[in-house]
Amino acid sequence: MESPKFSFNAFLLVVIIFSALLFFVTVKVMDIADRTPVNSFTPIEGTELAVRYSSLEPNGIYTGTENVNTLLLEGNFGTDWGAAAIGSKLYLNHYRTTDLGVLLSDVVCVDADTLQETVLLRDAVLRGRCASGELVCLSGVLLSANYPEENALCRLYSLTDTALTQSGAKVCYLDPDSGQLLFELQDDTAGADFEARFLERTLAEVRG
Amino acid sequence: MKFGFDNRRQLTGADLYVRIFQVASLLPALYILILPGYPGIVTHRSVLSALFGLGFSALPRTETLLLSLLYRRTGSEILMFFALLLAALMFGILSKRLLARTPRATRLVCALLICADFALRLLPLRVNTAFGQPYSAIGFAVRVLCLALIAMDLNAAKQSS
Repeated sequence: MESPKFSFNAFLLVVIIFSALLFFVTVKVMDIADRTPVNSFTPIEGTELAVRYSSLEPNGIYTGTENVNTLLLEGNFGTDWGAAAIGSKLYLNHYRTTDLGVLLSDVVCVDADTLQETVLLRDAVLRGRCASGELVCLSGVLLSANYPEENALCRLYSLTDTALTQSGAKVCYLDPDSGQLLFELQDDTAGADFEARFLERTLAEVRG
Repeated sequence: MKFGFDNRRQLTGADLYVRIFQVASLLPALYILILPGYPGIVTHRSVLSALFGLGFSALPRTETLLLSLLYRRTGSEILMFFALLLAALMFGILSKRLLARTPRATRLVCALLICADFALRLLPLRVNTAFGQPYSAIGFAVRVLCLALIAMDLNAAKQSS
């Protein structure tokens, strides 16, 4: 009589094989994990550059107008949360996703001359510049677009990162010239009144 | 101790423990399998997310932590899916061989691993509250059941010898 434990192992093996086929067809061939049609072209203030986020063309940093443009650096960059241009340095959010769509963000510095990208803060969001000019970032935060309270994958993702939480975050101030961390403080208010508390005040006022 | 509905399908306590482990691995895998076709399941709580939480609460804590680490490092739910299922398959195959060769030692090792898992669950770590209640309570109860099954097997083997 065949051992029932072995037949369950065989069942698992069958599940693995058919799952591989299913994922290959759905995610790789049919690309059904990417289905949101968007087309945004956001100029970066003070420069001739713009950030394009589109399901029609490659995402990235472009030069030119919305209709006539050239791709300079490919990547899922975003300015919706905040961005800054200081000289030839662009400070942006670089969005990345897991295979099945959990959205993550890194704060990056892109040199517009050399098109070199440097990650300043991982799992962080650039919110803009404060009143005294420093870059203000939220570090250790899960984007609200992921519905982190309901999303089981977000809970699993943050399990092994003591800094990554769903309601609290660190507010980080970066030097716009060097990108170095100047000051950070814990904020457990889920970003309530963020502009009034951090962006409209100077670093000295926040330090108190 | 033998369990089963009839004489042809009798499983020992250790066999049931292995089966519980494998079924617990399948529950989160179901969520990941359905996600590409129905992305809306991440935006609200549902039966699938409940099964996801239940599965990870029932799995050993070390495995949950390793899978989370793999997920963070690779950013791939698909890789995590296959790691989960392969771990369940390897555990099933390995336990079958070891239970056939050295049943008592294998059961003792399983009992020790479950006790170590209990010790981890009692620590005030984020992993012990990540999926909330009642999943944590159910996961704890599942480990108690697994330990009881192993203990019954060891006791039965001792009495029969």
